[in-house]
Amino acid sequence: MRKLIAICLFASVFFAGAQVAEPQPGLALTWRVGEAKALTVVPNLWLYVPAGQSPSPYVPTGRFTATFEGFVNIDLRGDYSFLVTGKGGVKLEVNNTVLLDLRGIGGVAQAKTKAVRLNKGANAIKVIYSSPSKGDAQLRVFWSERPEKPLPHEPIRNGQLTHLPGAPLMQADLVETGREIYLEHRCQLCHVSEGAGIPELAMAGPDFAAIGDRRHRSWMAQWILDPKAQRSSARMPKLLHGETAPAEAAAMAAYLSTLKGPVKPAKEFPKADFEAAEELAGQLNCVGCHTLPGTAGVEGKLSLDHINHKFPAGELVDFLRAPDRHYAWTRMPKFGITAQEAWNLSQWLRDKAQAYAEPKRDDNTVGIAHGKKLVATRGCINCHNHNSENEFTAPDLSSLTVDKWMGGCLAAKADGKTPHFGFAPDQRTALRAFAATDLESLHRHDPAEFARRQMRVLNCNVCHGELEGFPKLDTIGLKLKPEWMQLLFEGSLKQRPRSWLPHRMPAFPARAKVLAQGLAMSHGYAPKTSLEKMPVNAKLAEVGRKLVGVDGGFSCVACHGVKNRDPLQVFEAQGVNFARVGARLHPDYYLRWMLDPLRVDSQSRMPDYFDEDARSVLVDVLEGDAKKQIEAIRQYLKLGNQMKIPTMQ
Amino acid sequence: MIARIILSLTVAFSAGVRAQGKAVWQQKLSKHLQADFPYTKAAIRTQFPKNNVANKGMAIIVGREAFMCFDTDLLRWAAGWTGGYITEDGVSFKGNHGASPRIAGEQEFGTSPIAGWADAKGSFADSRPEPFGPLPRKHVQWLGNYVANDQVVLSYKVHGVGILEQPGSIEKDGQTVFVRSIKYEDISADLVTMVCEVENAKGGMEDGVAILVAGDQVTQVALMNAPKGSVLEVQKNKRVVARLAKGTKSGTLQIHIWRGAKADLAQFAILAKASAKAEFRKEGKNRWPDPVVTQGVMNASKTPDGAYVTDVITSPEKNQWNRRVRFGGLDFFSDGNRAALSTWDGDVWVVTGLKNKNLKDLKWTRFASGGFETLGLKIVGDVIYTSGRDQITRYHDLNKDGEADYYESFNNEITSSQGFHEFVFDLHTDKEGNFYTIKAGPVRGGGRGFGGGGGNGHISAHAGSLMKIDKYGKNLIVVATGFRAPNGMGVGPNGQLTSGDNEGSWVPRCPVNWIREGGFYGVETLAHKTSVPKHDKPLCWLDKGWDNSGGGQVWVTSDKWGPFQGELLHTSYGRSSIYLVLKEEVNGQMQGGVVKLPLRFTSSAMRPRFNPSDGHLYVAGLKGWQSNAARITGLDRIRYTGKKLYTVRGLKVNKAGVHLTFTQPLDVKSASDSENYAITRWNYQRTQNYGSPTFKVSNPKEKGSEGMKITGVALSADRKTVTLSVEDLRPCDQQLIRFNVEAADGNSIRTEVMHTIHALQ
Repeated sequence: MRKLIAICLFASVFFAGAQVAEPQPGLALTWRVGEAKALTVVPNLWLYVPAGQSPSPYVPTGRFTATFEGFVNIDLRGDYSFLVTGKGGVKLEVNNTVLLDLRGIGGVAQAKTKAVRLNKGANAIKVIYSSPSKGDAQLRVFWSERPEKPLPHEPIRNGQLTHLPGAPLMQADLVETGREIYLEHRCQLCHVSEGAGIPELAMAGPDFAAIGDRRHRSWMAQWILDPKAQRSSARMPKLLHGETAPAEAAAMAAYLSTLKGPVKPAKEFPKADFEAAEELAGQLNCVGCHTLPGTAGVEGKLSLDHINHKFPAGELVDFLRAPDRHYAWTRMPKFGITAQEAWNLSQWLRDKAQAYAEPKRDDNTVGIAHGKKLVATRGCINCHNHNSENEFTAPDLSSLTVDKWMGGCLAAKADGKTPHFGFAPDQRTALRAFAATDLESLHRHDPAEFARRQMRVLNCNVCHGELEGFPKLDTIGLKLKPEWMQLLFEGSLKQRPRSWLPHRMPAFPARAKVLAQGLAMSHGYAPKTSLEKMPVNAKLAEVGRKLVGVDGGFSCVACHGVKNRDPLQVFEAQGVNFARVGARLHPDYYLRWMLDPLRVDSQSRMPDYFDEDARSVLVDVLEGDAKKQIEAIRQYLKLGNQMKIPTMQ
Repeated sequence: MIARIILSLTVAFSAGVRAQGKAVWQQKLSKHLQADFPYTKAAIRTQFPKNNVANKGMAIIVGREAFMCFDTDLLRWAAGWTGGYITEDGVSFKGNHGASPRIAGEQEFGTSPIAGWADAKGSFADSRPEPFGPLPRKHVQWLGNYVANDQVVLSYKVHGVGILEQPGSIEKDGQTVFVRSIKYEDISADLVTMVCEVENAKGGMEDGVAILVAGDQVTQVALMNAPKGSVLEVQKNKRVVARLAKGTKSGTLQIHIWRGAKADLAQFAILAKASAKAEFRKEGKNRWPDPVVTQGVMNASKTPDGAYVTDVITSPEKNQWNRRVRFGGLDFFSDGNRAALSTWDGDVWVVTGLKNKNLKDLKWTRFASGGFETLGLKIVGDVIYTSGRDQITRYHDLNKDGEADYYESFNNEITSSQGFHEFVFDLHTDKEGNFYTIKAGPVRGGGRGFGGGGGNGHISAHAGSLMKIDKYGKNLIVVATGFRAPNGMGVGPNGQLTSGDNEGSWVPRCPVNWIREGGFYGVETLAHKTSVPKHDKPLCWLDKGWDNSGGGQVWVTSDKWGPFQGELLHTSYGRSSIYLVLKEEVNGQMQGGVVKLPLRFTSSAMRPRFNPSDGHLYVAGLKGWQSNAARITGLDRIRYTGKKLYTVRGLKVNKAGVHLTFTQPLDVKSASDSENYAITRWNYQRTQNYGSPTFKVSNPKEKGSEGMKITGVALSADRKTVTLSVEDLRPCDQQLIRFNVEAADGNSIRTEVMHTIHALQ
């Protein structure tokens, strides 16, 4: 048993006094393509760049080098070795000693360094990677703290890699922030000339279809008048300024409220179960992103106090069930809750929220016509799908020189008829830094970078690493195959992999594919898992079946179900059904996990059956060789739904 | 089709297992039940009357296809049935959480869970404070049972009158009569025994035969060989009782119970008069005369320094009875060459040959069977005692043939409900001869919370308690409460009690408990107090990787076992590991931690015991719930080889720092370099949730752990003790010290200490 609790944290105390600047998490990475160069910070030593894709949005396509620099931090002096997996050339230096210098690895290959003694605290590390002359670029650097043991190398933990930030890195960070603001606020939908390939460029706002059914007119008026006043993180600009603004907002809302869908049949629901709703709200962790009605506001969280004002009767149920129905790119997760659950939840929230009765109004045809005109002329239709003439035009991006990024919609104060975003000073600085670049990055899509960005936008870390059963996402791409992640994000898995967990993983259908691919690539895996050439070894799989069973095996089935069979005797720690493991896990991760689960997840309740010499407790199966036994089980797991049931009593 | 037994002249009395061909139920019997021993103890569920569960049931084979279940708490016959035996439901049988075995045939008679014999006022009402545990001794007293070949004789007292009772049956022409043969001493008080109850019946007496009719079914009871004044009665149209008159001299009688269709009444009339022979035999011939011979394995594993090795006492896992072997108790006979081991499945095995060279030709014999999850064993004066869910049993081999004949109930005061998780773990004695055992709480299926009824059981009086039973077995008292699943305990040479526990509700991590009388060890729902007492903090907590399910402890009483005489050892069932406990007392509070003895075991590690004869440590274990154990059972011997030992043997923590004492002098340069040490720490929260996340000590609301800055290292003059100065050292639930130093002779010492700081002086 090796215990690594200590290693996953690195104590900042090591740096006290030693460095001037405070070290920051991650490594500094310099991309070079020909003369072009870009800097960024990455959490780890992994990359995957398909042939033909630029390695970063800030450099062109072509053969590149990636130089990772920073420190690897440990809390106990020891001997380590590094393992490099990938294609291309790699030079690895630790504490200014070259440990590895490979000109080019042909195909996917691995190379391991000799053991090197690392000091307690920060050890300088530098990895220069050169992409191969053809084909995809790939790199994963792992390490081992017990190189003398026959155990696989493992990822360097997030907190153990640091770098010292300098002015160039801070400038690069500013540009990245500016670009993210640009993309997130859909700037390209008005300033159209630049950009291609990036998913955000295709992201629109909510559809206007039947918006009159879905939102109260008075709420729309209030929202249009000043979105940020309603929600500080609103992406929508303020369109109306000056004294006429309230009347104009009312007119636009009046028009929008005429956009009706077909009459919906009235649905009958039994009395809402508030207790169930409260429990569900806990399970869905609504408070991760929201504050509940009637509770104090929290910076960065969207209060739900306004829901009665916003949603007409019945509409909140539909929204909770399918928030993406009229807005594919909504940040609101799709939990796939049932109609009854949504009804309970909506009524419970409505009961807690401020009461509201939408006033009855006579239609004012003049107002409506005015509103329609405003919708057509103020730019609404640039973002919101609406089958109507769009009379709004904005200057093309190419005509906007850097100095112009200080005015108009980005000005400190709103003026005239220009939409106005009301950005904070630091956001405006970031946008201007981005404006000062050649903007070629709007043509370069890097799924890995997209995934990192979306994980921020979608608040993934509000649940992951916080809620029971929701692992931290820093190594998720090493664990899950992209195909499985895509199904998970789409919400198209037939069964939740861990249906017993109180909390539920939601779907983000529109983002699913690219997010899954990006997560794979940011962990040094191809966006598509290559098929194993060898078919299942039936003989080995049969050994594997015995090994997972009760009689003479590890009794894995005590906690893991197999196909339609429930696990035998779960105490707290149910495991994923064996029929699904093969489709989910990368074999490398599976091996590390099986050898020592607590090393992968210090809170796991999975027992370890193998020692640090990779010997199994079952000495008479496959010579007691842990790796052979684990492979036998893997062959069995690969059978998926074709697997035979092991001995279960 | 199996031919019915042809009976001529007199109807043969049958009890137990027939020799002639196997009955259908025997052929179908699941592998974890046995047909070749006359009973199985478990919480037995029946078909009627409503809620009729024998919490301490003995399902006895009383004929070729006839069975009766005796309830040793209430001294009642809970049920009689025909056809199949019992199902293998239950955690100790097929392994499921929840439901226990139920009768697997057609029930013919039954009683509700009330007294089997009336009290002094003639009432059968349950007079216990809760429906668990035995009836008061002045009313009835369960003494135990004899096993003589295929016959079982129950022994008990009713109002002081000694009774032997032998269950049996008469099986003829498809009819079965259940026979209670009762041998009584001089009857000094009116004795009334419950015979059966039938719901929604009408009945009365006819020609001395009690009759209850419900629908098409008739239940009839007849007395045979009844002494004068002994009669049957039908009470309340639903109950048949038999009354034995005060003043009757010692003798025997039989109660015949039959149920059948009205059309078959005539047959009962014949069978009711048939005589059934009961011998009330107290001893039989050894049913398991042939031993299982295994070969031990020497030096199966060793510590990296070679100071300790394990030898495998190869278990009789493969045996001619296909009996599952899962050791839950271990102790030695005075000759030092033999040990007795109890199993979770209710058997007692004896191994002979511990003194054999290289552990060759170990002889395993079966000594007893039928026990109720016997997970503890102690030998006193070469007599075996086991702890089970129903009682502490003392075994007597009356005819000295190597098989137990009399299973004496040494003390049966312990309460037991139907819960699958009501394990009674371990059995020890102190130097005064008192016995100790510890009972788990009725954890619910799934692992969280306790009780709730059904297969999850109830929180009965002794749930989650450590109990003391005096050396005569007269009285059982609760010593400490609040345990969840303490699979093992320890009693020191000076009487100090210790236990482990299992992470779960109210147990944030596995503790090593240092137990005081009246102490409370954490599980609030099992405190058995009107208000929740103050939690008695454990000596230390152990993080998951060290122990996720504690085993027992043992004190090193041997002077042949390296430098650790007088020290405490702790085992982990879940991690199949053994640890040296490093301990100190600070302001009356024990604190400390553990260092691992890196050895491998055949199965889990849960019952460590020193053999006083050879001075070696033996460790028995099983695999029955979550564990990383390899085999389903194992018995290993840990032997000190005399080689130099490289590890930590002492830990003290005070304001000056953390003091680690090693077994060897250290290399000055290596040991004085703070870069060769790392310390991290964290806290837990004790809540009703399962286990606990980790929290920062410096910020209790923040999850995670934190590294500590080591500001200085000092080495003692003898170069054995290192003092680490640590910034912000303070009390915390868990601190992990890792180091990578060299001994003076150049050997590497790379290990870890996991400990707890309650107080800093």
